[in-house]
Amino acid sequence: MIHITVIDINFIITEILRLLPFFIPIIIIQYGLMIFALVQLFKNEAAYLPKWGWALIIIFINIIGPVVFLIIGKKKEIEND
Amino acid sequence: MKSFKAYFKKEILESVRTNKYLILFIGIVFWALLDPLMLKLLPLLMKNYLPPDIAVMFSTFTRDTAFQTFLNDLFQIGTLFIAFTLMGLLSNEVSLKKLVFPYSRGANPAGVVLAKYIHYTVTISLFILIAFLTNYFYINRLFTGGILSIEIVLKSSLLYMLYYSVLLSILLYLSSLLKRGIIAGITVLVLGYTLSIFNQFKVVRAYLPNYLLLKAADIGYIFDNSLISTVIISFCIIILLVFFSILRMKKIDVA
Repeated sequence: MIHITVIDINFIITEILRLLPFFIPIIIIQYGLMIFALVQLFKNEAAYLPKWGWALIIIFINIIGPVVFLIIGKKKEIEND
Repeated sequence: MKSFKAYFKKEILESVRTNKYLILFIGIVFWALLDPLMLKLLPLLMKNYLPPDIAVMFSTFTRDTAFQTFLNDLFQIGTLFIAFTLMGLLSNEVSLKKLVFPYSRGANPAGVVLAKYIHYTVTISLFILIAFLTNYFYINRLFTGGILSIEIVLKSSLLYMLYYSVLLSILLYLSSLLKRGIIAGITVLVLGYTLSIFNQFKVVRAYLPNYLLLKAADIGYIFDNSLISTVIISFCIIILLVFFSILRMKKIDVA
């Protein structure tokens, strides 16, 4: 049986608020990378998947999604020629 | 020297264009930020859902154990990122016929290989240093206890730099041998993870590069005599594999 008291919740919220400044760089990196990958997706041709597929991966798979797109999803110029 | 300088500049431009700096930065530095926060936050969130004995284990993290957890995660995730980002180091140059023009203009294969190796070794080493210092800053703010100091963190980062230099030389050589970069990437990944198993065996572990990782996490006893053979062997592996890569690139038909 799980008991969560009001004191517990207050403590957890206080701790999360205390840790919030430490999360700022992580949030900036995460959303910055997502926006960067989306811009790259719309500026370049996509490989292996349609653009909407990559967009879903970039948006819904945190960090790993944009990185996977940047590694394998961007079509190389020579292949385009 | 001319080929080296030209290719070094070319590598910088290409890394920017293909976002390799960004991917390597994320793969190495991001976890330095995330790891200590997760260690701090998870026990709080899971407090009521975990059995008491496991909850106690989570709440007893010191600065030392938090740093060791980061090292372990960096090895597992960093290796994955490095192997898949740099898997086509030389094989792409050959398969995409990027070497026809430089070779026809008299480019030296040794310069090309050395420029690639030194460029990525410096890049990865720099990111490792940033990651270790960032992690140290976060750990100091979030945890207490333990003997972790900036000196220990820097010593530990040196061993990680050397380990990834070895891994990069293996990747470089395999990439010169194999036509498909993905095979080189997977091989390096499997090799990196498999060699870690040998850290359980005292007789052989000092002769394998993965022992560097074990010692990096051995807070308080990082630099000792047992490391001498590992460091010598690591440098030998680097020199031999870079040399073999140059030989291979000399023989390869780029057209």
